[in-house]
Amino acid sequence: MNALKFSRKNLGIPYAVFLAVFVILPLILIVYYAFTDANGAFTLSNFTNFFKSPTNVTILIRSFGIAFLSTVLCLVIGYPVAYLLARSNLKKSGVLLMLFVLPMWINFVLRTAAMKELLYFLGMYESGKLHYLNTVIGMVYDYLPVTILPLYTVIQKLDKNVLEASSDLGAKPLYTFINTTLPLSMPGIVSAITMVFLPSTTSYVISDTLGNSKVTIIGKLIENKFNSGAADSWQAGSAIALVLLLLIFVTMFISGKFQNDDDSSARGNGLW
Amino acid sequence: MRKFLCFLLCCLAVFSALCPLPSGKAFAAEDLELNIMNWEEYIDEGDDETPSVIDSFIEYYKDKYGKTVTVNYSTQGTNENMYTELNVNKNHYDLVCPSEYMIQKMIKEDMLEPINRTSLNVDVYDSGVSPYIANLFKQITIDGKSLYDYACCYMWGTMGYVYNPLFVDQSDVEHWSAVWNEKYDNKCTIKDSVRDSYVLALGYSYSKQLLELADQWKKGEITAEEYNLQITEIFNKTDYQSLSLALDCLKVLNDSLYGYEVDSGKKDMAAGKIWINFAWSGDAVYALDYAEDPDMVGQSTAELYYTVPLEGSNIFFDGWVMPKGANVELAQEFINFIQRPDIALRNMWYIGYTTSIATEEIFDYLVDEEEGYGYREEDVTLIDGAYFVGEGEDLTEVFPVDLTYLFAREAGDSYVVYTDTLGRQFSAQYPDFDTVNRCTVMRHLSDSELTELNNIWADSKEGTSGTKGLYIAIAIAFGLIVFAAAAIWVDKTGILNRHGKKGYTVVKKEDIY
Repeated sequence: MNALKFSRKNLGIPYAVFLAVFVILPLILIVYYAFTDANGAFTLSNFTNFFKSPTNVTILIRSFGIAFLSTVLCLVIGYPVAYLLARSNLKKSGVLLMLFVLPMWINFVLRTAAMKELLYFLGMYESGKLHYLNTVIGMVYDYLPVTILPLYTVIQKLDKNVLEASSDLGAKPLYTFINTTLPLSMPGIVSAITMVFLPSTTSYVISDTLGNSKVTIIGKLIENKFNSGAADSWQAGSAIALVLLLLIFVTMFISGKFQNDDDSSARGNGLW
Repeated sequence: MRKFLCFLLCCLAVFSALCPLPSGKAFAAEDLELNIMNWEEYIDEGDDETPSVIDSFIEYYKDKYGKTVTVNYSTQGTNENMYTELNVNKNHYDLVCPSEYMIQKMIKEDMLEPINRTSLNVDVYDSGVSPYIANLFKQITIDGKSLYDYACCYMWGTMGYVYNPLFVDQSDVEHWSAVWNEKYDNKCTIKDSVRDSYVLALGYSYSKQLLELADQWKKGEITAEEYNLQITEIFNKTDYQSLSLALDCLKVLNDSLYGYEVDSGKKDMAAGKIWINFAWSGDAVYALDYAEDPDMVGQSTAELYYTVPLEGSNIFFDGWVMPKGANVELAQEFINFIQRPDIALRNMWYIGYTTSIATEEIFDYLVDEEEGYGYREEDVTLIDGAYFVGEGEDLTEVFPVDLTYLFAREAGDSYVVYTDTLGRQFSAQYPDFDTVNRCTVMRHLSDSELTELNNIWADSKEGTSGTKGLYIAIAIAFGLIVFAAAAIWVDKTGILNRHGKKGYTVVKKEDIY
């Protein structure tokens, strides 16, 4: 009985169970379906069928293009905001931060629908040619809060002495920023990229609502495959999901490289 | 090891909690459970004052048998989702309501219980259903089994255009080509659903042929049945030529469309964002009601119209079917209840589609001056070849709509509704025979045909210019990479700090050592 005594490690069990049931098991199922045909026999045709169609490859590249653009825009807009909020001596910076994060508290679908009305009001649908732009705007709008938060946390924790040292050693402010602040806030940037890039490749609610379903991204393609009604619909969908998963691993690997290159493990690393 | 065992036990505990328990049927005979899967918003769900049809059924069952039945009601958005759900949750559902082409697939795959008309009965349905629909169900067969033996038709409807007459000429929407018309660029939507939009594409591509056939029928060269058979063939084509024709015209359409939708079209029509919407008749009724309701859309109400283009269109029938392992007795009790004319009216009034039930009660409702849409033959007077209601100064012209095909059970019966407006809610719900006869039923497609069709659909959504947006995105990405490289170069060369801060001298690394 002694062996069943509570130890601190046991605290991890609920998560381990959760992991096994909701993460590992579905992954195994996806892999299983991706490599079998409708009768359960091993096949690679799900993958060859996917890559044979130029449309599918276009959709894949497009998803990554839209995600890349959204991520860059989020960083370009979010970094200065996070920097100002974290570095300035504003008394009410907490309130300001809340204002930026506030949209996150509103339901995602509702937010997107409201965004559409706003864009319509601004005449973004007049020409009928701006579906990509509208989609990217929607992505940036939806993911800006999750960009600002990690950046804010990391920048706020930066050691002021390091920045002062840089200045004392003769670096101009811009030089200090590029050589000291930016590398030190890299963990926050990588977190932000992970938080924005990965979901925006697949969140087709935004592209459907704001692009009037005229912008097909990879998430939508997977949904279409699953609901095609053909006998191998799950197999075809799973194969695409697996391809996407592999590409995401590659992206994670690359962004992980960034994190390791900078020896900033002391601060805010592994924040997310 | 023990820890591992502990972990395993926990896993087991969670698994057993997650695994669906055998449904109520297995537990106790007293606990009656009815699991229904239906479309979203496809039954009278009641409001604050009136009970839903489900609640009414529970009450009715209690009154009749003294037993309480638990109804688990769930909904799905598409036929394909229903099919998937049935395969995942085998033996769970008692009653499902897919469309006719999906029912054919289910019959083919032997997923359904036949309707038991001998010991138990569905007499309310059998006596109430329109003979026209019953005949049609008997005629649709797959592997020698007729639809009539497996499904009870619940609602039916057509596909057509909802349009706003303020901006759109009626003569334009009489043909499928309306959405391709340059006049309505960026003002039209079609369904984000491949089988429905494929009908549209075929109707446009084969327009000439279809209109010729219609002409032959009008001239009496072919019978109504022959005409319908021939156009059914055209609307169910999946050969290479038809697919590529459809692909070409859908690609062109993609560039000029406002967008694809399955649900938002109704409100976009009312708001005036779009002028033409490819819609199911029930949704059309909803859109028409919504657009003229000042409580909903404010001051700027609009009067929308619905029409089924002359080339012909799709007609669909949704039917109650019982998957294998269903509680047939209880399921048929429910079918019988929901097809009672008073309940059918409640559902029809709530959801906007047309009930399969065609009895005197339903007809009385249609010609009811207060609630319905029109007048009886007795109420109208014939003046100079046109029909009018009212007397003296208040004469209103009305138009006869012959619904004999739907209601008549015996030869010689005549059911004509005189309505003052054509092309609106009433016409959407109760099309005349001419309209119904130019509508065709979808056939069940094989897997390879479905895959082909889905590929075409994905390709068509790329439009004619296809990858232009993609190139722009790649160009921007490339530009950013160049920018980043330039920034790194600037950083490496130290240009920014060449002179250092005031009062400092920059020392190169090499000079230190």
